[in-house]
Amino acid sequence: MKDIDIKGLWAFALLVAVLLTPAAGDEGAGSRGLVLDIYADESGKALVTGYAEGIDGLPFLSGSEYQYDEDALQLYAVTNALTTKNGEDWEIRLLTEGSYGEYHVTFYLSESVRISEISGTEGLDYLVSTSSDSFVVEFHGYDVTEPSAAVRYRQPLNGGRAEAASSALPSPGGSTEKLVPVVVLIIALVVIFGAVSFRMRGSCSSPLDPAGSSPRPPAEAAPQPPTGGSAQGPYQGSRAAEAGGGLLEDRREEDRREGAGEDVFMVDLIPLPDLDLDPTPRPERSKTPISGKMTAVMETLTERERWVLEALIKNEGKMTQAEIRRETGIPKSSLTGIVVSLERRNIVTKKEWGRTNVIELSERLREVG
Amino acid sequence: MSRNIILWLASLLLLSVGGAPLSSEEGIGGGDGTAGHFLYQVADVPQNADRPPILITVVRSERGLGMGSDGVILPVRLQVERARAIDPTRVRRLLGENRTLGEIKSEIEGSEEGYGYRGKIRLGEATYLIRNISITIGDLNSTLEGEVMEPAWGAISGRSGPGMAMVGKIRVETRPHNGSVVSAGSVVLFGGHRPRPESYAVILEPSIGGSCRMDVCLGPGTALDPPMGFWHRRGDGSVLSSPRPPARPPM
Repeated sequence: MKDIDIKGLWAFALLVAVLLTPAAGDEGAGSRGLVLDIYADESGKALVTGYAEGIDGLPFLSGSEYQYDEDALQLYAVTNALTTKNGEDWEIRLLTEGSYGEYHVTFYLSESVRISEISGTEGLDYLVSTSSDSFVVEFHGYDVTEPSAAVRYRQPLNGGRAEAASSALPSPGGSTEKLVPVVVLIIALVVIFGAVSFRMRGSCSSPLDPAGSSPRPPAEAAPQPPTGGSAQGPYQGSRAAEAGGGLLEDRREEDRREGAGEDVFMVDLIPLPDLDLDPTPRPERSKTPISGKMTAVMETLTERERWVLEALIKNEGKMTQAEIRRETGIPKSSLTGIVVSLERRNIVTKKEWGRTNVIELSERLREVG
Repeated sequence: MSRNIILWLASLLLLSVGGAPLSSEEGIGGGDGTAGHFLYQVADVPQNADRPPILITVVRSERGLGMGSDGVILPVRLQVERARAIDPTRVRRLLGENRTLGEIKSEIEGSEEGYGYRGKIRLGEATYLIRNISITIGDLNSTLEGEVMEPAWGAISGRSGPGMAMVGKIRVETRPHNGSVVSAGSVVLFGGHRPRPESYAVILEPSIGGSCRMDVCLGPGTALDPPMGFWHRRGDGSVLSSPRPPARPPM
């Protein structure tokens, strides 16, 4: 049968196709294809890559840095124009102009966000999944005109990385107003802290100070809260911070529960690297050498677990849980779970120290391999 | 002869010659649909060394018709993209490091990540994704095979699965013909809510402006040049046939 006349059969198939395709082919005549992958970071900056048959329908490019290869129809862009922010609520939206025969846009968001709403114009279907520490939101559509795809999500403000980077974004007026009292408080606390550190030279050091190789009890490590009527300095400062509420409230509450002491709270509240209360020069913490085992383990970790391990490696393999939280910006509730998970896999060990925990890289990971 | 009879005959002939029909048994248990989200079967297609690596190309964008075994005729759209797997965590890290666009681009292009295919097909009003795609390029034809997945559109799936199930298989063979190309094959759906398997004979041709220019996608001197290739798609979408490779001298 196959030998009879394959060419004839193909001609017949073509004839049928020619006969029939006008009905389907007219559907999207003149429209084009758009296949974009959009990766957003926690500051709202996004990398847009993909295939675009023309970029005149992508208005966000006008204010963005981009490269477009007209031969290969490849687009690369880095932009802040797709995201907007209002407090903890974010939206990433791709607005396009013109008609698209084939539309496939995928947003990759950090898994630390909470998606609150997904919306697309008529004709777009969406699908959400998780992959590689990301939420993946795919929009598909056929023959759509001026399609718009949007994802609203909530990203906690105490995600340190998000906060640090969010200054790059044009923030809505409301959130700027909310930040004013916080800034005033921070300045006040810096002044108070400076005065106190001048008075309390040499009175305290970090529990993980290499000079004292083993952790000391908290009472020894943290500066004593002032007693009696002469209450000044840090303690007063923390009261001021309490009055600030809002952004600072969560951390204050967390630290109270963690029992790291008011002064630790102060340092935690304002992560100023130069504010060391110990006037004696401290040797810089050396990095723990990265063993082969460590590298192998790293590859099995989630993004946040890697942050924790990287922080430990940078700090001689030993830190308090509060320090890790400060360094990584991971919220306390999440960090507790991460530490438990790492401990269960014999990647770190956890020791109680006063009312907080000291986290260390496990011995097996310290072996240089 | 009525149009339906022509269609039926054409479908029958194509099923018997152009696209070998798939039995429903073939697909059962053939995949759990939970493997990685974007990494499908990695294509063994070389990249043109003279051009920067291309992240996403549309290797097929076709439309046509499908005829069901019960005589129903549906419009069909098929799109297959070839995409490089990029780790989103890595991209976020690069963005966080305030790298320039050029630096990010070079980092991504210089990575060792592999390529994979991802596709979708619309039969009537239903859109399915195609996973585990393989494309075989022969002397005179290319064949696409893949698993048809039915996603839970509009649902948010958990980490345990991508929220879709394999419900069928597709096999489409593409050949050049008179300066154009035509694809024919079959789609068999046997899972999901269907009370019984459904099969469709499909006939497709490239849609307007919706396809990769093969010389750009793959580069001259690579997969589609003789002796492997047989067509060359021009910028306006038309297709030129390449001369057949000379026959090998007898050993």
